[in-house]
Amino acid sequence: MTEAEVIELIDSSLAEEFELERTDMTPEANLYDDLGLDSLDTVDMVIVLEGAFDFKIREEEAIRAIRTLDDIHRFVLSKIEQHS
Amino acid sequence: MRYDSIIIGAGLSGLTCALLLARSGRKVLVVEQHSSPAPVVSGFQRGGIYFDSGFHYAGGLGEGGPLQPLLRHLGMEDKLQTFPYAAEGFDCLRLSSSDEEYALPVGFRNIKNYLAERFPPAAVEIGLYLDEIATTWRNFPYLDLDTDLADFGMESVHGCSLQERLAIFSPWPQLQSLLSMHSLLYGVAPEQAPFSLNAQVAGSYYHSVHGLGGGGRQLIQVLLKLLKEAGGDLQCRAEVAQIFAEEAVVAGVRLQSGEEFTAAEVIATVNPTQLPDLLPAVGMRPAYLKRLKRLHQTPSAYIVFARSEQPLEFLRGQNMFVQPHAGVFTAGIDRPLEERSFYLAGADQGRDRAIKGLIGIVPASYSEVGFLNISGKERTVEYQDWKKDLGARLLQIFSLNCPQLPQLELLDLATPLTLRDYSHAPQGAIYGVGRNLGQYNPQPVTKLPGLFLSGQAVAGPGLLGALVSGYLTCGSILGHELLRGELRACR
Repeated sequence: MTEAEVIELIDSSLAEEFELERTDMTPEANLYDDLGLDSLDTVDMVIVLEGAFDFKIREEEAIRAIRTLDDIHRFVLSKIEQHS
Repeated sequence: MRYDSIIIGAGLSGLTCALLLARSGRKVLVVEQHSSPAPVVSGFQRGGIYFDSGFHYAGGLGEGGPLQPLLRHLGMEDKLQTFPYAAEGFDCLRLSSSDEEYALPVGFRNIKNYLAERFPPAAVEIGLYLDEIATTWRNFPYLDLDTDLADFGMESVHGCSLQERLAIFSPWPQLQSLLSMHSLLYGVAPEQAPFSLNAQVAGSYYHSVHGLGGGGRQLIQVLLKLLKEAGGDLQCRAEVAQIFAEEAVVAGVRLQSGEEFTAAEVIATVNPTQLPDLLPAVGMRPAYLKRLKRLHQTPSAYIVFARSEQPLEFLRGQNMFVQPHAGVFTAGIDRPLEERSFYLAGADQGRDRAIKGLIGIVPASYSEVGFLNISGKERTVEYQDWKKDLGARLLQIFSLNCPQLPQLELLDLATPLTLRDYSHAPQGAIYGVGRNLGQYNPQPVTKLPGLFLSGQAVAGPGLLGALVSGYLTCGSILGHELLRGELRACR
């Protein structure tokens, strides 16, 4: 999967599972302030990403530090890199 | 009719929530779909004997145990008559193929000494293992009243499994059996069960073991009386069809009958996989609804209720866990009945008379009753005949594998269909949604303001799990530090 494909899969999965507008989903969009997610959504975000990429996410600290959509992209890309 | 809080489900968690909220000054209504409250925990009378069907024995009720402050705070402590289980062996493991028996004594130190004596080469590892459980079993909000709530981790999602943790004891399969048999008390197989969950449940029994005079029925009667005194209302035969919202905030519940009750808070103690069907169309993310739907259910069971002419004194203050072979516990629901593990307990022990009732629990899969194709509560003659044959076969299995048992007369049998209809759990899941590794169980707070969840899926199984789930949920409403502070004052 290319980087662009990974990012597209992340964005399309989150758009569907959290009913987000694709036009709002810029890389710099803040998940909480701009996309309207809150702490209750974090677990579901983890599960959506686990399902989309077939890996387990155990990095509690890293997940807590995520603020923007781009943070998610970087997090997933680095997980994929570690796996390969 | 207008209420402040409506609780869906009059089980242990629901009644605990109702009592805490009523005491906080709220006008509370509990709605229960069954014809009477707590149909699983309340048990029943048959052939002159009281049988428990949900509650059997409690861990963590001894001095310094976490159940004490909870029961004291609820005002139940002096209304319940408790009695200790046999100190020298509260749970007996019987390995039927090799005719071996072990009896776990009460208390971490006693267990450590006993196991070290039986398995000398493993003594050091046994010590480390039990120390680990002794120091971690209370790592859960409301079991530990001192640790900051933010500091409880995700051990039950990301930790190691019970099976992995027991690998070190593989030269001693009997020891593995003894240390894993309590997985029967939470319904998750050792390869799927977080070690921390086993520590929480088994650890509470390693700490202290008690029965309740009058069993689950007494427990529920005390809770109902206290709820009444606190001004709480209860309505049975009230099945919720819909939780409704106004302007994206919870506004009440609509019953199947069409009757509506409004409230600013609704607490659902239903099996969480059933929650999406009750929710209004707005307010929840598709990701959350999918998560609820995909939660793993625990297996179901057959529960045999039998009578003996001879007293069943060997079950006084002691349960029997029977396993065909030594090794890490397997319920064996994919195997024939003859090759499954089972659990035996004496009925109605809290009084000075001979034990004449036997309760036997055999894990089962819902698919075993699927052929009966019974969707409603009506039972056919075919089902009754099948049940009678099955009960006789199970009694025969008990006798073959547990020679201490005298002649038994079958009084009744609960099947996965019975559990389904009394507990309202899909597929008759005996502990509802379990805690499996890698699974994120739902929290009490939801995205829909005013809607909360409670029940064993939120915390854990058993009396302790149900009470803790009630406190977790009410803590989310009333303030955790308020409730935990009150509990600290009850230690």
